[in-house]
Amino acid sequence: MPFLYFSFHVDTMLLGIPAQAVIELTRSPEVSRVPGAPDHVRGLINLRGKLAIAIDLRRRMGLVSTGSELEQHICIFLEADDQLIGLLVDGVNEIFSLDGNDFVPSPIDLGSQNRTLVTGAYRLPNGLLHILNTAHILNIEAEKP
Amino acid sequence: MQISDELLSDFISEAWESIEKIDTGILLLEKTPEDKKNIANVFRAIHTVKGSSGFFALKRIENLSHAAESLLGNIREGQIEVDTAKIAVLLQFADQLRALLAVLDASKQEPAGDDSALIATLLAYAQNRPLASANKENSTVEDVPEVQAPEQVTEQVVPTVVASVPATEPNQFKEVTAPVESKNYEMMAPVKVSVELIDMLMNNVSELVLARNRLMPFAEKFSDSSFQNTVAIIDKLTIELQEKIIQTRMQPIGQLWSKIPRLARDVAQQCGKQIEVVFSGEGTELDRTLLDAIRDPIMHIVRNCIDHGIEAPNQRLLAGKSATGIVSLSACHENGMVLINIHDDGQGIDFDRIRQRAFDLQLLELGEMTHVTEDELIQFLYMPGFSTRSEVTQISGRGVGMDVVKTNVAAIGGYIKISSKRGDGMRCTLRIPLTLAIIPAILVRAGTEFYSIPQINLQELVRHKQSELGNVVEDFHGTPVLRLRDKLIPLFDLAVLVGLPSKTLSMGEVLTIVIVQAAGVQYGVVVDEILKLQEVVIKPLPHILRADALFSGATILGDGSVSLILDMDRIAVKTRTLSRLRNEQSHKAEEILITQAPSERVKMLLVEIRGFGLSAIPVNYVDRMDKFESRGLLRSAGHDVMLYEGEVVRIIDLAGALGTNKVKDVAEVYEEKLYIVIHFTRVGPFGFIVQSIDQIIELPKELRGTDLYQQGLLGFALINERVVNVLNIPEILQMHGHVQEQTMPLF
Repeated sequence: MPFLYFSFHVDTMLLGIPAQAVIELTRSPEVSRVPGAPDHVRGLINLRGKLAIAIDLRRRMGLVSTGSELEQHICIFLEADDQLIGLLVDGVNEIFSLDGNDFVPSPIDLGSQNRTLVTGAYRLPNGLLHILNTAHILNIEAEKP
Repeated sequence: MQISDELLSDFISEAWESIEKIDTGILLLEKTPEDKKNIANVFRAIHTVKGSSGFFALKRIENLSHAAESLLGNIREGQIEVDTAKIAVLLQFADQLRALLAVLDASKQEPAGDDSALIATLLAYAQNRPLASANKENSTVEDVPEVQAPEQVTEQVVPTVVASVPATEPNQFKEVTAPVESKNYEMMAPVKVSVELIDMLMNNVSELVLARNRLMPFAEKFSDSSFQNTVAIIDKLTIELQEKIIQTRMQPIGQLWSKIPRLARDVAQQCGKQIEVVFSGEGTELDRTLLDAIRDPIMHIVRNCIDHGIEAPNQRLLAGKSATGIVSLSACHENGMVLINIHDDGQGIDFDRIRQRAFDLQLLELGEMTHVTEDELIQFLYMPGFSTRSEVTQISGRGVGMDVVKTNVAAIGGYIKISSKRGDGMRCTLRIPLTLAIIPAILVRAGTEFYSIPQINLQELVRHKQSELGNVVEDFHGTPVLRLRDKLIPLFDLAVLVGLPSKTLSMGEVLTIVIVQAAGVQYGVVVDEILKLQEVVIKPLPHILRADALFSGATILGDGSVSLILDMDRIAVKTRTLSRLRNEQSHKAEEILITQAPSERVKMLLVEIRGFGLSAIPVNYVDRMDKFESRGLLRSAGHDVMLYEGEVVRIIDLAGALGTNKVKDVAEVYEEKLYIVIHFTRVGPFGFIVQSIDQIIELPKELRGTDLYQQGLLGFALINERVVNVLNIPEILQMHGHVQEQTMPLF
């Protein structure tokens, strides 16, 4: 049975989350900074009266910032752990319909920061689609060794 | 009482629904007598009313329903036929039930009266013997009911009633319907709506309010009068809608009260105490979500009252109290807030124990232990992990407690205050906003960011020009302070608090300062701009942002952007108490300053010094006072010392130290008894010998004669036209070889 994945990218990394998890997309939402928040939390976004935590996915993944943070101007809203999350990414790609048999659990060492965040990847003709575990986007504590 | 009241209202609303079913069912029965399902429905409805009324001991309703049930039961069994007379008497029953219920609804009591006539008629029909045995035509079917009918009922009632039917019936009707119009009650029969639906409505309305806010500026911009009128109407309707929805969500606090007796009983049994819980103000209404939010905090406080506050029965008897401890809960509306008071008549808060515990946890230094106020000690209770309980019980002592209570209460825009008097138990006051966490707050700007400060903390707004006389921002031991009407108010820059670059103050610059009162202290927050006072809806912060944050929540502004609500209590604590936790020496001066800032006067101990006169020692330097035998003095390494509670105390004779008359041997000069003021320093305790100890007084911080330098003296003050020398204790200590690691505050 095929699964639908919504894909997007940060830097050159192609990432995917289950398509049904996506609530909506917004371009350059207004983010209010929260002083004292963890590094990867950009702040709060008002999504029609509800508060969403804006997650800087580049920082969350521990990727070296290219210095152009403005690139992350697309926000993907999803709900995980009873909390509305706004994932800030560089751009969105297509929706893939993929067969579970092609799934390879964590094929490469992504470093401790991504151990539970990236559950594995699908082999695509021109690269890998890394699958995010949405339940672990907020939970950075779980990944500390 | 509350339990049955609540259940009774439930019963009443349920009974109204049943009556509707009975009514329509009876009418349907008339049209389609063979509809078994309908008969079963009516029967069930009557049966429900009978069952519940039995539970509430509502005898009239129960007996009436029982009789109607018998009649309908026999119809259901097919033992008797339905005819117009039976329908009439059933409808009569429904009317009577309605009338009784109306009175019950209004007065919560079943009216006195007698329904035996109607009951007899119902039962007679159940036996198919309408109006006693007068009718001969029915005798043909008489053998049928006799098989099953309860014999004793028919025999008892039927004969006696016949005569009374015409007399009693109209009377009764008058009596029960008189107080109320029964029609009103049908209209008021409540509609059951799911809580989720109301929550969704509330959310939509909040959204609508925000959309309206965005619309308003347009109306002002375009001078189109019909557009402006439309917007005005939308504005009005939105406000009304919001008010109505809020009303729908209001629930009496009695719902929460009713849960407490059981909890109290369980806790009391576990810790072997006798408890009585007293309630008042159960009718006070507040928003349903708020009611939910305060449930756990209140339960926790009650648990604490019983476990920590109330003494064991024998202990209470010894203290001259009754063996049963009383925990009282009250609620009322005050200034648009709900005020909840929880009081126990137990032993009260043991401040000595908190003091000791704070010291053990290095939250207090030895020198601070005596002059820390009770209010400040109470603040420690709100700190995570602070429990004075040595052993962990099932009920409390895990150290998770008041801090969580406070966080929960703050999350809904509420406020908690604990006070206690020795022997008079503990009093806990909660102030909760009336509605779904809508609080008035002022919007301020720091840099490009907007923050909200709850109005409850607000004291005054000050615009202050640095060069003005009188009000000056000064640097006091590293903390800027504002001198406002002779009060010293510590200032914090909002920009710095939220991690933005701080402003550099220059002369002539105008500062905008918000003066607040929180966690028992007064302080000022410097902001870039004060925008407006507005009602804001508090939205709780996501969990991962909550820990250690300076914010109690967030709100969405009219333009759709998010503004964080500053938790002024937490800021007060963070800039003060928490710095003690870290035990950073550099914060020391600042802490003491903040402690004293609310008063422009300083507490001093008045003492008499031989040959020097009336003098004052700032109470910061007074940890103990005691009377000693002069022969307790020893000489060690060229100093006078004495033993005090196992410690060697260096003795300084103030008369000698201040140079009036240099004495070699202290013991020779003084009488047998010595008065000693002890101060604990980092290098050990010092004792100052004085001739006598007078009292503690408040002196103005402004001293006179400060420019006439004299060793060991700060200056002097005048009290009742007497000159009081104010001592410079740090300098005196220095003269006696106490090396200081840093500058110490003068008072």
